[in-house]
Amino acid sequence: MLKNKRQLVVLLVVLMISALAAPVRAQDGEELLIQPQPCDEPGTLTMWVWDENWASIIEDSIAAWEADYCPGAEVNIEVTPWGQYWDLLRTNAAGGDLPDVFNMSQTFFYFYADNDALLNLQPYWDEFGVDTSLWGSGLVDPYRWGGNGDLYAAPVNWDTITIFYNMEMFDDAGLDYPTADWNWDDFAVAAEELTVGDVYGAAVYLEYQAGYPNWIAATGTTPIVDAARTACTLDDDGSLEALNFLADLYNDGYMPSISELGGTSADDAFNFWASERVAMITAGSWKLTDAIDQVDFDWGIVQLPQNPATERSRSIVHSVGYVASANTENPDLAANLILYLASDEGQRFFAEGGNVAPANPSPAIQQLWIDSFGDTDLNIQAFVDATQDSQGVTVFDEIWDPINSELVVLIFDLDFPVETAVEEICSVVEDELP
Amino acid sequence: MNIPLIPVWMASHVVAAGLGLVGTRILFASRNRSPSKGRILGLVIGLVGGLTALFLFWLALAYMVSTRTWAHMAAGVEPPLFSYHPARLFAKPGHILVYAILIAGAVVMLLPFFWMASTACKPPAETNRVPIKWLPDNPACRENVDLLYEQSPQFNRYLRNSALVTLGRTFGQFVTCSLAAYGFARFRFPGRNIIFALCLALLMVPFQAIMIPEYILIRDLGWLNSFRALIIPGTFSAFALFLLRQAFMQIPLELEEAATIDGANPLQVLWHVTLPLSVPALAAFGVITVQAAWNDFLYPLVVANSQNTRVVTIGIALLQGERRTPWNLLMMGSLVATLPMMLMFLLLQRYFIEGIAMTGVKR
Amino acid sequence: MTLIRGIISRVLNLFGPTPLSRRKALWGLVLIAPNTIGLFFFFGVPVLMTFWTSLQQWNGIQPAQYIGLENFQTLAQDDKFRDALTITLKLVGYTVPAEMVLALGVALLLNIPLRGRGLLRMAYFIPVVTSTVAASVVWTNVFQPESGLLSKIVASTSWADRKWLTDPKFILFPIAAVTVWQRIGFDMVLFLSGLQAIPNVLYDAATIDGANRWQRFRYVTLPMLSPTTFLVMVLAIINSFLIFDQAFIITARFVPGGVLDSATTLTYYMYERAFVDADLSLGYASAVALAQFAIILAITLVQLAVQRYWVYYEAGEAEA
Repeated sequence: MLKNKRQLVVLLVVLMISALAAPVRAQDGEELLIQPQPCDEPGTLTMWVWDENWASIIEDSIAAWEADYCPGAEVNIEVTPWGQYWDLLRTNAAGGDLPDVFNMSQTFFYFYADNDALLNLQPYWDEFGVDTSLWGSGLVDPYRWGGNGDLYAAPVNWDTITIFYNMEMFDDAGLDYPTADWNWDDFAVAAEELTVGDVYGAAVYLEYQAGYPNWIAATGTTPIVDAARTACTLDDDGSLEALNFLADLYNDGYMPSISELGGTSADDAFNFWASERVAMITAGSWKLTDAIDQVDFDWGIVQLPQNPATERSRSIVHSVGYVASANTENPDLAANLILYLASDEGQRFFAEGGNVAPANPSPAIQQLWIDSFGDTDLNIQAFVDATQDSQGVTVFDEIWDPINSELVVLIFDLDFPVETAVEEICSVVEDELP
Repeated sequence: MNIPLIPVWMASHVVAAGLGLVGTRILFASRNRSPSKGRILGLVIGLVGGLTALFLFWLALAYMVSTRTWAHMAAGVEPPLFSYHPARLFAKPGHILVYAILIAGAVVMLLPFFWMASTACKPPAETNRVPIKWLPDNPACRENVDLLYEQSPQFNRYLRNSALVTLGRTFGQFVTCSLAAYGFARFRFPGRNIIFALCLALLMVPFQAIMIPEYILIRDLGWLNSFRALIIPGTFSAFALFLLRQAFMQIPLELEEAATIDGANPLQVLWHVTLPLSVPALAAFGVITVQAAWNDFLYPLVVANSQNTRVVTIGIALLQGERRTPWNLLMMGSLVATLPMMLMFLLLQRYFIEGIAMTGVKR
Repeated sequence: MTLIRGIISRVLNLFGPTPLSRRKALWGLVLIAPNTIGLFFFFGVPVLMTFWTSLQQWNGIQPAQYIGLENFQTLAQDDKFRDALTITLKLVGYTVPAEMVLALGVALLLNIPLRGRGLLRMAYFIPVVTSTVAASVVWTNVFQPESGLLSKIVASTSWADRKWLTDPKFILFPIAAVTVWQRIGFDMVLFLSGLQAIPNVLYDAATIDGANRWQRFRYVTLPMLSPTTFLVMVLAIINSFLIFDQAFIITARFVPGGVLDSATTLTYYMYERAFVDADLSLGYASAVALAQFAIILAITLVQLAVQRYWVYYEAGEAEA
């Protein structure tokens, strides 16, 4: 009893000291998931990011870090166009000059981790007292490496997938709006009813993130490549079930072909939808801003439909992370900065900036992000909910793109039977596996 | 007889456009009705009818106006100043055909440029439409310019950097490549053909293949993120060498020999004889070198992507994010970056004029 | 003593038989020195480094390993390389004649003193400076089946619903078309400048001799233009062998590199090996680039050797 009391006192003192030492911006009563720490020694870091919008948010947050946690530190941010980011990163890696801290994507992590180019952040997570399971497994599992599942990256954002639907078209067809518990059969019926004239019912198969892999995941199968990167899963029963379901909708004329859409990106489906040529599309959280700004009909957001057998709907989730180079001269400083960017305080900058959904799962932060879209009836919560039972990314490099687009073109444009297309693509995928 | 030229000329266009429109209407309507008939009718009315109307009006006008102009000339009076003058437009009747061919080709050439310019003036909501819009419903040019500078506050600096790099490279290549081209064209020395072939060979390696070594080389020189890296390697060129060598070899030897006999050294001959005789080739060199330096993207990205040394092509590419393509800004940026190149071309193409090369050549 | 003198005179003779010719040779070397040294330093050195890389097993992060000619042995048996070479050769065949004929035609027409000629010339030059992103959007739209501009124009034929952009059988056509579109302006500029070097007196003389328009073109324009034609041809072949951007313009929105590698040109294949592949190998990519380099070089050397039979230089042949 006494012992417990003493512990309590010690804990309180520690909390008070840390509260004094670090200016916490948390509102009263709010629980902080990740607490930034002051750095031991300021120094200079180089940092690479690929998006100018991100860069401006990150510049603000780093300025706060420099002021509050690491006075005297200097971070040189270099922004590189997305289209060339990975080529340039490889060029610099070949020259032996990876930046100290840089943006990482789950689809490219494998190469750098496999070649020991990244700093293991796990000792720092332990030191800072961060339980890495606070992030959903889809967000962090692809960033784990080695036998112990050490976490090499701090997730900064998440992207999930839902269905955007045109309410006016549902009204015209006399259909009720879909709800979170709808399933594939309901979806197929809606797609059929909504196909009128040159308007299609749905376009939900494009690309990896916002396309057919979500449907495969709902069956319980890991899409395209298994988590251990040992086999192509496209010929598994779950994959075939999902692909055949989509191919049937396409063959019945309820979904447009790739040629009609004009591309294999989810953006092409979005444009089709925004031009009122299709009623339902799979859309990523990154499209919210565009949809709110650019669509002039009534529209809604609903969770992906559930697979009738598994009664699950599973969204592909992807998270951009921050990693540090294994050769950085300031590993402690780099880790300290990364901790700050992942902390509740650092994540506020992303949440308030809108568009980018912050990875930190603190309800306050998530609400901040939802609120950043202003006063709207849209069910933005559906995106947050989709992070719950979600599927992390297992594909990498060429399998991520272009091989997965190739499958889509074979089935949904060149009219290959699903089995033939799958066989063709699996042989290519297996060439790429380690 | 006082013909109201401009109204008549415009009327001919209106009639032609009207016929074309009717034709197109039928063409499109035919998709739902009897297809083949409607299509042929539409094509015939639209193309043949429209063009014939235009042609007839122009011929008539050309006839009327030309008699008038010739009368003026015969009387020794300056013809009235009138720029849209069919008679002047077509120095010869055959030129109508030439125009028809060239304009038809130009339409194909300009298609993407036209879309770029129109998208630069679209509000965001109109950039994502299917099928693509060729004209904005609610033009927003001004707004997009403002948005561009809001998104990319340093855009003018990028333009200035590009201009500096372009000037430096062009001037440098002019010096090094005209010297070298003259050396290869007019002097015999051991290894000449081999060295020339080796220079040409450098054109045969894709940049992606030497991107990493190039980065390492520039880094080891300590030139990363500097204007030195952007300009100095670009002042040497195998392409310009080849172009100028071919041009110099077309100049008759006698002229240079005359100068040599008068006691001029090779540099003086090059400056006073060869270069003045190569103005059209130098114009081609200018057009292509300026354009290539201005549009260079990958090399500057690899060696000089810091805020201070960033060139405009990178600035434009940065407008696009991983999951975000603001087409209107992207195209406005591209348009702003293309206009100087168009101006440059218009200025330099004037030197593609017959006779310049051969002034003073007596054969 | 005589031996040394003999050696010296031999060396001197390399530069020319007389003091005057030796001085000329020295001038030539001095004139070419700045550009040649600069070129070899800034571009020759990286190419040499590529040679060295091609003998290594290197993924760009792990230390490189010397493996001798292994990359080239693999290359000799690489079906994908052979496919890429076939695709590239086809594209060279489609594009080079078309762009040269069209560019020459346009240049001839735009050499006529027409009103508004400058603007028309600019219209043909604009593709060279048009944003490739815009080109990608517009051309993929033009070639879209059923709704594209092309299929509207050819509405009743079998071309209307042809899947130009996704079907491996047809993909090279739009790529060739875009390449030609982009390069007419470039070639036109060279032809236009070449046309100015033809003295008018030759045309006058030919006209007096009773030559008709075709004969003037055939016997005056073509031979006098041959140094430029040679330049354009050499460059066109090199550039077509290096096609990368144009394939990307057409395939980027669908499957980069074409469905089932149908648009994977040599450069694209090299790029894939060096930057995209999961199991990337800079050594192998370098070997691909060098094989490509060797092919282009061989073709260019043949052209340089054959030029004496058809290229007419005013100042006499290039005196090999």
